[in-house]
Amino acid sequence: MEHAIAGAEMQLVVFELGDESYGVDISRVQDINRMQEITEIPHAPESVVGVINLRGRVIPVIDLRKRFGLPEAVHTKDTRIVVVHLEGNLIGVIVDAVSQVLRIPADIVEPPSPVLAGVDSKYLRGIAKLDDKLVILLDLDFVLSRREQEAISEVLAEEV
Amino acid sequence: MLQFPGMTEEDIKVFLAEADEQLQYLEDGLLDLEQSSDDPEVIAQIFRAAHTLKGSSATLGHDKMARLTHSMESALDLVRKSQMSVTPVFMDLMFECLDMLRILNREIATAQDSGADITELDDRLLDVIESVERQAGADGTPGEVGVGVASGVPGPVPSGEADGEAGGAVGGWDVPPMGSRPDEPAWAGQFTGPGDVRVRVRFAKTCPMPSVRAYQVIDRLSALGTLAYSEPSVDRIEAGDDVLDLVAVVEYDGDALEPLIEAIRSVTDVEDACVLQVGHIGSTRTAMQPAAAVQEATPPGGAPDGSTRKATAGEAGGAARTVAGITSARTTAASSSATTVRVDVARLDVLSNLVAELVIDRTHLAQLESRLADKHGGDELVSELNRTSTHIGRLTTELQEAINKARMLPIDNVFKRFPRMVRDLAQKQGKEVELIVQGEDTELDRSVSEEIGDPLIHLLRNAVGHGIEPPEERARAGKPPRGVVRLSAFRQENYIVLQVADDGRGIDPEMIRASAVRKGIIAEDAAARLSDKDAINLVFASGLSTAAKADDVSGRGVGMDIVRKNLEKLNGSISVDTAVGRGSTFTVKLPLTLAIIRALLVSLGQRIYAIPLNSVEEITRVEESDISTVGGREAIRPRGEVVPLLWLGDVFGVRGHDRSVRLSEPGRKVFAVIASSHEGKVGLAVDRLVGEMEIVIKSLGTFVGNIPGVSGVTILGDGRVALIVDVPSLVRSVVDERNAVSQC
Repeated sequence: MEHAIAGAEMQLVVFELGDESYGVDISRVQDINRMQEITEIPHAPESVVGVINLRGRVIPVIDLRKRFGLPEAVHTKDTRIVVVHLEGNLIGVIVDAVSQVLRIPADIVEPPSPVLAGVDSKYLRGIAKLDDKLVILLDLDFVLSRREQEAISEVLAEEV
Repeated sequence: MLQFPGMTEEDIKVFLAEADEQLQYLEDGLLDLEQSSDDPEVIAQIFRAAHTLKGSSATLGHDKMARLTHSMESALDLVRKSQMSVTPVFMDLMFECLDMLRILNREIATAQDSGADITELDDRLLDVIESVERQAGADGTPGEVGVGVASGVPGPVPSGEADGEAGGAVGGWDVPPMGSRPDEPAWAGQFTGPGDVRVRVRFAKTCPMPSVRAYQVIDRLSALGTLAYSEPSVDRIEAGDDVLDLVAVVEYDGDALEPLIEAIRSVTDVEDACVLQVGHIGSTRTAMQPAAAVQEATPPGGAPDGSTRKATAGEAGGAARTVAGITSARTTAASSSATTVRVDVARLDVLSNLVAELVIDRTHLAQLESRLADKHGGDELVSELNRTSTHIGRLTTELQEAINKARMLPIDNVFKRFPRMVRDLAQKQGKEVELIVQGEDTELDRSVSEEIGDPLIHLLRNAVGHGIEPPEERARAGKPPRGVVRLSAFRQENYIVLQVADDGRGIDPEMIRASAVRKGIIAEDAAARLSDKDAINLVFASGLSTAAKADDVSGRGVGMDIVRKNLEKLNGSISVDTAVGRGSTFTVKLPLTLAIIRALLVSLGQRIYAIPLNSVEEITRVEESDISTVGGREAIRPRGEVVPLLWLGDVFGVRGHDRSVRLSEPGRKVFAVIASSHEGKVGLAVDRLVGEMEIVIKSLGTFVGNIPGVSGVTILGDGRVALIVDVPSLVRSVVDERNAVSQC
């Protein structure tokens, strides 16, 4: 469904994490918020930082840096919480910055190369090659799904 | 996949809403009939329900339901005319039919064929009818007229109509009786002269010009009566829309249906047709609206409005509950459809969320306003802002109350399935039980009514299974053979109280002690030391069953502890009051809404936590010297009672607010909130008390899942999210720890 079709276009929300640019399908993004106070949840799954109040709804927030095993970063004025749909839930994802919304032809997306920037290729749906940079298309379902969490930690363990 | 050609999704919804109601009337009526087998009022109610179901299912095109209700109606007609008496066998047959109708109803709701076969039930009904009519001789056969049009192959002829009259199903549609019987009193099911007639016509698929044929039908019907309604509309038919299926309602002044039937028959390419007198619908434009649909197909000359249902105490009123026998109810139908709207709960939830946000913004606005006042003192603009923000505040509060009210449902919704359940249970166990229901108009939040069904089922099963004695035993004890189970609901402040009381054998504390000891729940000497009240409370302990043997009615003793646990999850409680030989009363207390509770807000530094107020016993200040160690765990002794002390900072891993930091200096004090669940008490040490507040409970969601010690979250007035402390689970953790220690 979300796979590239020749001639088709994709619209991506592009965000920054570490030195990389990542893209997620815009239809999955509900909201982009500035950093706000996060209520910590004790004994929560590891990458769940806590919960926030998104206009009356309480939604969990995960730190993508933690999920990807990247070093923790200080939150800045650019830090954003990208709220995405996941299996009927809304999940907030902390990223370093949201840089742009991008419309790209689907055929510039290439299948992921084996390992890239510390993020295992299992997370990726592909890589969009733009003139000035590469945008990594994330497989949100895989990255965020709790069912896959163990698989992810295994992947991370292997890398260490 | 079941399909109902010509029926929109909305039509099917309306049908289902109506059918649910009629099935309930049918059930209520059958239960009443079993008690008083000759009450004509009750028989009339059942008959009408069957009749209405028949009419609407035939219109919908659900053949099985139409056939079954038709046979039921025919059988009930004999009862109504006193040609047959109500026997237990007949009652069982009726209940079986009811169960089947529910299955068929589900078929329509899910659009999935259940594979259920009505033939056997239908045959049994026909046997009953036949045997009565054989006895009664050849006279009095119902003069029912079927519509046989076009290529229709006559279907199975309903028994009793074998006297040569056209009857039965055509092309798979059962045709309801529409005979004109001047010798009969005005009743449902018989054509009674002037009134509304619903016509449904299906054209052959091969029909080259269905819209023309449809127009012809409309035209011919219009010549005989006034067309009140048609689907598709005349405009669309004239516009040439493809119409393979036409539904029309005609206000018809004739005194026999045959002219209508002839008129339809004369149109080319008509494959099936169904002509049905639906009574006086009133405003037929609203006939497809739920409220009006209830009134459809009720007999002219039936009982006066509302009196058809046995008037029970606190009967929920309102248009939706009224079975009306309406003679000329144009205005009634129109107004009732205009005053009631069915709303999806999800929409109400959205509204609730929006209002909750509004409340938060209002608080924020008030804060801004007071800061502005501090800065600019008596500025005119500031006081104007003040007025506006106060007004918004008031409106928001009213809005919140109004929405909460809109979410309330009478508990009748939950109670209505119990009479049948109790009947079946009693019959299965050879007991005689009367169920008395009180306070069924008590309103409570939908979220609560969804949750209380299961606990109540359990309590009622226990009352019938364990409480009420068999008739002989009751007779020996000098009681009337028929036991009474009383189910009642009432409001007490912000709680709803539900009671299940029986006049059975009661709970014997001695038997409980013995059973608990035998099952290893408690040591013998400990059991002996228990007060009778505490011993009786062991019924809520896991693994205790007082029944001599486990059966499929009252379970295997895994019940009551789960009931209690589930109720506590909802911030409710359960207690029992019993006397040997006189019976038991179980009392369940639940907050009126699960969404909103009163809570004590406490803090650890900047972090705020909510403790449900119903579990808070008292609050004390403690310092180092108040704390002793009992069995390896810290404890305090408010009023001499030993209560284990938990540091909320330790429980939630909040650095800087755990035990080691907070009482490091001599003389420093913290607050201990003494909170309890049925398993005991625990003191929760916190830095400060913030206050008491009504909070809206929200779930952490499936992504985060269950967090030990946390039952949910809430949004505070300033928009921050606070965790709600799960007191029962904290108490449990202490109890488990103690058990683990004592086993070492």
